[in-house]
Amino acid sequence: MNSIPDTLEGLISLEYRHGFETSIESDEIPKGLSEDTVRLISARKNEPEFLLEWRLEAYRRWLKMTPPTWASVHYPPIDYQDIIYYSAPKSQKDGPKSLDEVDPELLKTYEKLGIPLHERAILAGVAVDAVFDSVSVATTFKDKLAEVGIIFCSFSEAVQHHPELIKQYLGTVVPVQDNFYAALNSAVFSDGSFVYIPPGVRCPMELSTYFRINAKNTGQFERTLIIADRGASVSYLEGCTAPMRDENQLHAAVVELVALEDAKIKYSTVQNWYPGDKEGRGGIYNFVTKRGDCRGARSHISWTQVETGSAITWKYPSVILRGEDSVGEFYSVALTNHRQQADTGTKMIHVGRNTRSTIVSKGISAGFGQQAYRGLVRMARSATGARNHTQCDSLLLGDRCQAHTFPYIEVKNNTATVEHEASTSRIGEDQLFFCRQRGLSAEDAVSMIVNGFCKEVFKELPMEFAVEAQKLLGVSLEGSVG
Amino acid sequence: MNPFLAQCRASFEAQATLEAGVAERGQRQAEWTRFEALGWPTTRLEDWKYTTLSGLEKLSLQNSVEPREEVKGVPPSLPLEGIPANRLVFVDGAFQPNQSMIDRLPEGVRLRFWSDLDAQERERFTHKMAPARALTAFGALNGALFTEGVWITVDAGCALEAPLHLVKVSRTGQRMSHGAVLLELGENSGLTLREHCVGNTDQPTHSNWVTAIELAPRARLTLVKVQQEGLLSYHTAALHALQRAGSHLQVFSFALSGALGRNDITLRLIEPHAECVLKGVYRVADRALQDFHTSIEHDSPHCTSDECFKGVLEGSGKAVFNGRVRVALDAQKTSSRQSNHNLLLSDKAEVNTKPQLEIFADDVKCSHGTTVGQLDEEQWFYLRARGIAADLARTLLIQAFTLEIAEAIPHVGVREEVRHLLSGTVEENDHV
Amino acid sequence: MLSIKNLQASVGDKPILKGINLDVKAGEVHALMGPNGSGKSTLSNVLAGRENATVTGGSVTYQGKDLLALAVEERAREGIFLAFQYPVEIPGVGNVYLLKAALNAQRKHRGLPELDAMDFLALVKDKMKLMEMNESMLYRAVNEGFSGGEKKRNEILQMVVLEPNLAILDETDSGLDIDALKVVSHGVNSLRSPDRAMILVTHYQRLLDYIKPDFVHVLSDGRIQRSGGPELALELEREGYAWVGDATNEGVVAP
Repeated sequence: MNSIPDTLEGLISLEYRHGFETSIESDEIPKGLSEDTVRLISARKNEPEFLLEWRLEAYRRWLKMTPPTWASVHYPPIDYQDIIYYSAPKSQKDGPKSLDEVDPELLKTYEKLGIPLHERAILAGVAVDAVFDSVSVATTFKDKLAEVGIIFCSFSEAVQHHPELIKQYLGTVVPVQDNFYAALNSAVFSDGSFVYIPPGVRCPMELSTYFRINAKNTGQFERTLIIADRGASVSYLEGCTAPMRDENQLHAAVVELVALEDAKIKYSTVQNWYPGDKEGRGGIYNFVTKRGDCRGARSHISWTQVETGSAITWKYPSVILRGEDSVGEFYSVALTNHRQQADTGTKMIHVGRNTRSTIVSKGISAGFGQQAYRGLVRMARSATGARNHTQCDSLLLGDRCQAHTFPYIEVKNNTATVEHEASTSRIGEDQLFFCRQRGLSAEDAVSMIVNGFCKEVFKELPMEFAVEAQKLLGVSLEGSVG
Repeated sequence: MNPFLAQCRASFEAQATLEAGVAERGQRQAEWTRFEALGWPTTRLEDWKYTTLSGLEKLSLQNSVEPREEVKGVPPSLPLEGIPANRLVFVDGAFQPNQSMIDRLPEGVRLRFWSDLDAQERERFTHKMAPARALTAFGALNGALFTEGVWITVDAGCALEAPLHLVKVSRTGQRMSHGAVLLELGENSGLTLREHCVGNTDQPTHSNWVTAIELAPRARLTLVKVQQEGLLSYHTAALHALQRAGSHLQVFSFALSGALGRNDITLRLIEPHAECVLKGVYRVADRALQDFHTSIEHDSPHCTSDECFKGVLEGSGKAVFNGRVRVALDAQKTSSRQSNHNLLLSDKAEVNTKPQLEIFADDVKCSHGTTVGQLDEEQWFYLRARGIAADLARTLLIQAFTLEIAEAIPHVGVREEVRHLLSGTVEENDHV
Repeated sequence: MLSIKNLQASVGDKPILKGINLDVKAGEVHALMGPNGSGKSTLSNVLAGRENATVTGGSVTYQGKDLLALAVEERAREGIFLAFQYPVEIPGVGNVYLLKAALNAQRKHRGLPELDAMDFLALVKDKMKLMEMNESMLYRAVNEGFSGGEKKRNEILQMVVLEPNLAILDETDSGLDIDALKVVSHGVNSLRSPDRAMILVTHYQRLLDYIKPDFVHVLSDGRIQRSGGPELALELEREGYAWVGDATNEGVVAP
C-alpha cells in the first residue's frame, strides 16, 4: 500500500493557485498597536464618535486578555507590535463612485482570481463585495439590490450611510470581550461587508464577499454584519486567498449574523488562504469568530464551510437558538495537509423551545496535518423539546497526520434529545481494491471515496462554490460520484 | 485554606511523625508537596469543569492512621453475609484481619500489606503506584495520607475461578479513608476481582482509593466495582492499568449511590494485541453527582478497546462523562469503540458528556457515539398495552437500559449478583 | 361487548376518524378492511389507548364501561388485546418476564391469585407448542433481533397466554409467509369462543381465508363505507378499493 500515500500526495497537494502578488501602491499606517492606532484607523475612516468609543472599549479590554491556549494548535507567540493594522490601495483613497473608477490593476487581480467584477460577466447571478487588504474596493449590483430595499455595501459605507443599523446590531452577537481575537478585531477592524435584508424580502441573488490579503506584514481584520429582518432570506458566500509569503500573516475576522422572525440566512465559506509551504513556512493564521443569532421564532441560520487553506485555522461558526422552533446548521469539510493545523467546529446553544440543530463535520488529514473537531451542544433548561444530531467523521490519508475530536455535550432539559456519532478511519484498502478491481485508477478511486465522504457537505454549497470546493480538494468529480 | 484541606494538612503532619523510615517520610512529603502544587480542584480546571467540590470543601474529616485499627463486630448492614470466601475487608481504610477470609486462596496468589513490607519493597510498591497517583490531585493526596495498601500478585499460569472480593467499608461518619491496591498478574494468569464500596453511616465520609494494575502477557483480569455508599458519601478513585501483549482486561464500574463520585480510569495498552473492555453505569438522583473521567491509551499496534457507559439521571442529579481515547503514532491497526448513553428523567437533572478521540496514527478504526434522551414512548406503550402498570413499565425500561452493562460480566456469579443490585425493587427478571 | 358511536379522532391537526359506528357482540369476528390511510390503524390505536391520536368526539362503550376513560394498562387488564402492526423491540426486558408480569397483572386485577413460576411455565410452554415456537425465544429480550414473522408469532403467543375478551389484530398478516400465516391463524382460531370477540384489521383478503369473519366492514376516509358478510371481502379482492369512492382523494372530502 505504499503507493497510496504517494498517489494521495499528488492528489491533495495541488499547487496553491492564488499565490501571486499584485504590485500596487498602498497607503499604510506605521506598524504597531496602541490607542493612537485605534484612533488613527477610526479617523481615516471618518467614523462617528460612538464607533470610536466602541473600538477603544474593545482595545482596553483586549489589553487585559490573553490568547486562548486550549486549542490543539501550536505557533510561536505573535508580536502584535510587528503588524500593520491598516493598508489600503492608494488609488482607493476617495472611494470609487462606480466600477469604472476602480483601479484596473485591482480589477485584473480579481479577474485572475476568477472573480470578475464586471456585472455582465460570468457571475451574473452573484453580487460581489471585493475586499482588498483593509478596504472594500468594489461592490457590484448595489443598485439592483437597492431596488428591493436590500443594503449590500462595504462596512465603512454602512457606517456612513446607515449608522443607526450599525449602532443597533454591531457587537450584539459577538460582544467585544467575547474572546482575545474578537476583542482585537473590534478595536482595529478595517472593513468588511454589510448586508441588511428588509422584512419579507427574499434576496434575488447570491451575495458574496471576496477577501484578498496582498500587502506584506499586514493583518486583516474584517468585520461582517448580516441582518435578515422578519421573513427575509439571503444566501451569502465568502472566499479568501492570499499571496505566497514566507512570513505568517494574521487574519482575525468577526462575522455576526442576526435572523429575526421567520428569517433565513445561509452563509457559505470557501477558505483558501495561503496555507504555507510543505515545510510549514509561511501561511495565514486564520483566527476567526463567526456567530449567528436566531433571535426570532422559526428563524434559520446555516453555516457551510470548506476549509482548505491557512497555516492555522481556529474557528467555530456557531448559532444561538433563541427563537422558538429556530434551526441551526453547521456543515463543514476541513482538509489539513503538510504542516497545516486546524481546530474547528461549532457551538449550538439551544435556548428556545423546539429548537433544532444539525452538525455534519468531515475532516480529512493528510501529510503532517493536524486537525481537531471541537464542538459544543448545549441544551439550556429552557430548551424544551430541542433536538440535535451530530455526525463527525475523520478520514486519514497519511501516516503522520492527526485527527482529534472534542465534542462537549451539556444537557439541562429532560425533553431535549442529543445524538452524537463520530468515526475515524483511513481509506479502506478493501474499498480501494474494490474500485480498482472494477477498473478505476487509484486516483479516481481515492477521489471518488473522498468526494463521497464530503458529499453531505458539498450538497449544501451553492453551485459555483461546490465546483470550486471540489477542485480545491484536488479531486475531480466527473462522473465518479454516484 | 478550606476546612477539608486544613484537616488533611493536620492529618499529614500527624502521619509523617508516625512513619518509622526516613524514606517513607520523604515519599509522603513528596506527594504532599505535589498535592499542594496541583492545587485544590476547582471548576476553572478543564478536568473539573462540571464537578464542583464545594460540598467536600466544607467537611472536616479525620483520617485513619492505624493500618490495623480493628473494628469490633460486623455492623449489621455490612454485606459480608453474601460474600463467602476470598475476601479482604477494609473498614475506614484500615485492614480487618478478623473479618477477612484469605486462607483458602491458592498458592499462586499472594497478598502482602504495606505495613508489613520492608523498606526496599515499599519503594517498589510506591514506584508501581505512581502512575495511578499521578492521575489526579486526589491521587497525590492518597500518596501523602494513605493508611494501608495491599499488594496482590497472581503467579504465571495461575487462574483463579472464584472471585476475590475486596470490601471497602466507610463505617464511621466524619472520616476519610485512603487506601492503595496494587494488582500484578503474571503470564497466562486469570482473576476476577469484585470490589465492594459500601457505607453504613448517614454521616459524611470520603473514600479516596487508588488502584494500580499490571498485566503480564496473556493475563486476564476482570474487575467489577460497585459503589453503594451512603447518601452523604464522597468517593474519589483513581485506577491505572498497564497491559502487556495479548492481555485482556475488563473493568466494570457501577456508581449507584453517594453524594459525589469521581472515578478517573486510565487503561494503557502498551504491547500488541492487548484488549480492554471498560463498561459502567451511573445512577444519580436527588442532588447527587457522578463523574467518570476515562482514558484509554493505545500505545501499541493491533490493540482493541471497547467502552460503554450508561447513565440514568433523576431528581436534581448531575453526571459527567469524559471519555478520552488516544491512539499513539505507532499504534496502527487499532480498533476502538466508545459509547455513552444517558436517560434524562427529570426536568432538573443535568448531564455533561465529552467523548474525545485523539488520533495520531492513520490505520485505525475508531468510533464513538453519544445520546441523551428519554425513555422510548413506543416501548412504554407496548408494556402498558400488555397490562403492566405505568410505573412498573417505566422502572422495567430503566433497568433494562442498565442491565445490558451487567450482562457483559463474564463471571456468572458476579453477573447475577450485579444484575440483582441493578434490579433493586423488581424482584426477578427473565429467569422465572 | 363493544359499541362505537360516531367516533372521531385526529392525529396532530389532521382528522383521521370522522364518525365511526360499530357494534361488536361476544362471539363475533369482525374484519375491518380498507385502503392505506383510511384510518384502520388509528382506530386500533384509539381502542387500545395510544395517546398520539386525540379523540375529538363520539363514544366507545366496552362491557358497559366508558372505554375512553380508562388508561392503556387498565384496558389491557379488562381484556382488550392489541396485536401490534409493528411489535416493539425492548432490549434488556425478557420475553418470559413480560408474559408473566402481564398475566399476573391481569389476574390480580380480576381478583385471581397470581400464578407461581411452575404453573406459569407449564402454561406458556403449552402455548408455545401451539404457536410452533422454539422455547429459547422465551429467554430472549422482547422481540429483540426477531424476524418479522417471529415478532408476529410472538404477538399471538402473548394473546393466547392472556386470553383477552376482545382481540384487535392490526395487520397481523403483513410480512408473513404462507406457513407463518397458517400458524398465526391457527393460534387465533384456537381462541375463538362464544364469549370472546375479535377485530381483524387488514388490507388484504388473504388472512380471511384462514380466519373466517362473521362481518366485513370497509373503512375509507375515516368512515365505514359499507358493511356485509364474508362475501364483501371477496368482492374487494376482485374489484379493489377504487369503487369505495373518491373519498380517499383529498379535495372531494364530504363536509
